Amino acid sequence: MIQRDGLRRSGLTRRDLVKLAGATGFGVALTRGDAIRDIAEAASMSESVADITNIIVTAEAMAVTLLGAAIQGAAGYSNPDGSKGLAAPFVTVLKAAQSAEQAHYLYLTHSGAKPLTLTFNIPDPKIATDTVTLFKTIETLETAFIAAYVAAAREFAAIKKTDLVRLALQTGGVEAEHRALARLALGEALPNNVAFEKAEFKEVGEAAAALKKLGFIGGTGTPVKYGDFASSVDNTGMTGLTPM
Amino acid sequence: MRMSHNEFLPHSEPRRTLLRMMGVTGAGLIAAQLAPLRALAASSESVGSIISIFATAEALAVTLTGAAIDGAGKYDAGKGLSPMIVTWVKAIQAQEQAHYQYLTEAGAKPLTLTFTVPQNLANITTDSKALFNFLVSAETIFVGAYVAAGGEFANLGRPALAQVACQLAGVESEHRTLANYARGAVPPNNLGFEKAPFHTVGEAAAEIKSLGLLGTPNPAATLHYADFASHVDRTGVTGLTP
Repeated sequence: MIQRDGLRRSGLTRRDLVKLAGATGFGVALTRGDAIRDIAEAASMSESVADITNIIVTAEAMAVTLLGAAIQGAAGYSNPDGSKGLAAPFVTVLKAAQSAEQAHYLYLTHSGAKPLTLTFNIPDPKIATDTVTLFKTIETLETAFIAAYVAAAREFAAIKKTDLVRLALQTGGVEAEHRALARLALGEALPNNVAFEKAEFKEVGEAAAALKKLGFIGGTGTPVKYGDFASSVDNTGMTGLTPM
Repeated sequence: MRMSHNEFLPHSEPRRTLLRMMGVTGAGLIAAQLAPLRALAASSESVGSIISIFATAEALAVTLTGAAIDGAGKYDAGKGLSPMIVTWVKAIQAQEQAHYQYLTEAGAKPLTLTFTVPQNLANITTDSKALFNFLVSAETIFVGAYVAAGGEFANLGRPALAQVACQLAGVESEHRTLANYARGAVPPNNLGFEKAPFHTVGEAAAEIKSLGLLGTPNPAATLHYADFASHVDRTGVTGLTP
């Protein structure tokens, strides 16, 4: 279960940290600069576990919604060769991706996470009508989601929330699969084009800000609601719908 | 989940024990700065053991993918691997090599650079379906190893290393899904959450070792890392450091 420990910025000085560590028996470790830096990082975290999981669950709801819209409108997409409709194999990929995002949403909400909103926006109408725009958008969003989970892993590790670190890796890996498959759908010769996933954000809140800036949250584009798509998620062929 | 200290090797632990534990392929983890990681590896056996296991695994991955690339034309009775698949496998090799280089520059020491293909896996060098099935299985183990490493680094109070473990878990997951696609799995992205069967990297290493890739009687092939590392093709690959 995810715990809400409400961690806030502690305001501890380095001297305070040294005293604290000595009292808890970690004096030997404090001879290393790395240990001091890591403890300081934990103390300086400005996001609580609740902050992080609420942002992540909102992103997952957004993914369920946007993918659901794409799946529902699959037959109407325009392809570069002039043909109509998303190719069947990639509709299957989108359905599986939506299933995974919904699994993430359900696990997080069952653990206490609360989405900040369940209404999102489509900032560019072509996302709903043009195949290339759709998959480029998916690639961009998945890159941001991966980076959010990378940041979450670091933030959870800083406060030694081991199970949450593991969860972040298990979920971030799935988002990376989506990224590679979006690139495959775009016809990229190299779907797997990075040796290390990008670590763009220091905090998960930066990822949320990025989504807002892109217009998917609190934007002016066509509104779409999670509730209109969550009930039609297709789990065919999926396994591992919980992290255990 | 808290790790007990006896799951990390003390300084006096013989090389034999490390060999027993290691073997995870494809795992990689990097710190933002090499100097602190070098210092950390020298002073903390646990981190040192972990990254040396990973370096060994990376070398194994470079070696096996290199063998597949070099023999691409022989697969499926001479039909050969498709150019698309060869491109993907070359990129996989480049990525594993990037992981290996970064780890060793940070002080990790691979425990061996000689690997074996056991008789029961001999067809991964000649049959494309066997190759893709093996890749899916191996990458699943590697992802699980990364997940274990993330948890271990959290317990060790090393958030930067946990971050890198996440960056690498993603890359190995991409390899898994593309191998799944190549073998015709529908859908290729068939997991809600990546599998996490291991609590320690050592458990993952034992799983890999049980496959016979780190030494086995009467192997179908014995492969040396140096024979493949010299001609890694990084065309199109970015993000070669974390």
